[in-house]
Amino acid sequence: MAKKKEILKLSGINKCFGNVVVAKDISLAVISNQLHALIGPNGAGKTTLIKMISGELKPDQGAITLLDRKVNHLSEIARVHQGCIRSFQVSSIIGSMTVFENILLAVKQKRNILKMLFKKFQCNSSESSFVYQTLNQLSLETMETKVASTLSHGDKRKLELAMALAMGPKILLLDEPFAGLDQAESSKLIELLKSIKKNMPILLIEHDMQAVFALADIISVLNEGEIIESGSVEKIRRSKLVQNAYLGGDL
Amino acid sequence: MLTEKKFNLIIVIGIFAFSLIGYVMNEPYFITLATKIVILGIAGCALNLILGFGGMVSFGHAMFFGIGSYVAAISAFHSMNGDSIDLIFFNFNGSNQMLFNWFLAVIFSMFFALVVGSISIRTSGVYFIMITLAFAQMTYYFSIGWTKYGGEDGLSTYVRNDLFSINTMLPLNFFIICFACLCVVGFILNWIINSNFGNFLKGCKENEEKMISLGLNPYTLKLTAFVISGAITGLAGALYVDLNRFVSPTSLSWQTSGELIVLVILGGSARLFGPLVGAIVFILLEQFIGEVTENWQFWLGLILVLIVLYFPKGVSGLFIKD
Repeated sequence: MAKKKEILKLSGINKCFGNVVVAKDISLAVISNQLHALIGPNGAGKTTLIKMISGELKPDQGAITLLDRKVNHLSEIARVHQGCIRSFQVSSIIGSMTVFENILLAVKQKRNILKMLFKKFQCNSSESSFVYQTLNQLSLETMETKVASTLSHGDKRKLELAMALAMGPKILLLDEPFAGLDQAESSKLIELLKSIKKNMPILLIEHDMQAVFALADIISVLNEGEIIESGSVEKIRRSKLVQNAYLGGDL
Repeated sequence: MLTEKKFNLIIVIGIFAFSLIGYVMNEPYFITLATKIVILGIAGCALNLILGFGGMVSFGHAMFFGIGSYVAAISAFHSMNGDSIDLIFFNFNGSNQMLFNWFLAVIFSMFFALVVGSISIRTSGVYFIMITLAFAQMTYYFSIGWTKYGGEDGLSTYVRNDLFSINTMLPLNFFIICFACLCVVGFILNWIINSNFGNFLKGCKENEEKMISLGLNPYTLKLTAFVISGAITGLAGALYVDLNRFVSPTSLSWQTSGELIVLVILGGSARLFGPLVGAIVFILLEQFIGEVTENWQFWLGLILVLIVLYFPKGVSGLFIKD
């Protein structure tokens, strides 16, 4: 059995906005090929935590370690180059470009930027096969020429995920990817994430508990900036503390 | 409806034909009008790179136009007078060579664009508009007080600079020089907007947060576009000095910045030669409505309002299919 490796590790993260504590001594780890779900009520500090991991916000205290390297001092862009790729709560794509061009944007950023900056915006054969492979993986192959802004909400979600995957991430930070999806779209996305997590560590923030229980290997529950419980799906299901703070009853 | 490529070709050939008609009819004024369209078109296309493709509404682009104009004019002025500029390490005697003066204009405009851009691009929206305007007004008031080079009255250069052995005083010859510059600028801008850089820039216009999450630095991308745009606008300014053989602080004023924005909106932003179409409409309105009434700007304003309300893709958008 392959050795489990800590891809992302948070140790003693603290963050305050004035007098409001949004992260209180948060420690967690995301292991290779595992999906770690972070759940909690609105305002618990989940998105703030993602912002600190991605570098948009700086923690007041604590260490963020990515692949055994402390990244607190790195900018958001530098962390992307380290392989820490995030998706947003609201679909974030380039609406005026086609689906293919959106993925190509994500593919191009991996190349040596100075060498390719003023080259024509088109893909060579290896990039092309990679883009089509990503399109197929996300079942977007029939939409490659569609302008992204005209896609359905579910397809926009898939496109954003496709862009993240096209960047060759070391870890994926997904912020509520199931928000606004109907039952059928949710089921498809669950299957998709099940296949992705086999090769990729994922930190998932989600309110859709059906999706979380179907996907998560580990669940951490955040309440008022503090992790109140962490463990397997069964442990979280049974936890009275979690039921009182978030789930609101037996599950 | 035409493809953008065909439309651009028709516009460029049309301007050239208009100038040739002026030559055949022995109407040098037509040629001068065509030259003015070409020069303003170059400046408008340069502004369009940051406004149309980068989403940066610069209300201070007259600064680069004026700096290009003043640099070329000062160089020509010293060459003509024979007195040199003491530059501490060496004396600069000026030059009457177009290529050299263009080079100086582009370098100075680039430098100013780098300084102004590196500060302005930290802001966005209305703050970006105001900070670029403020910088441009600083250079405007500086030029008014710069009595050594004419101050408020401006600076005359009397003759056009030389380019190889071409007689640049002939309107058609000078038009062809400007037309060649337009073609080169058009080629460069077309290359840029179709490059990876151009598409990253379009991405920044639409969703800066996303571009950061893709590992790209919007600040650097936007600053690069701003400097390229400033440099090309400076070249247009240098050509404008040779056209008029005169430069005044007006070339640095906010009215000139506003006119450049009008060219972009009138012709169609985010189209390679949209501002060139804007320049055609602008100059023809100035010319033909200006003959009927002094208040031609009123009609320009009315047309602009109608364009913004009903044809947001500008005049070129009426002919180009998406």
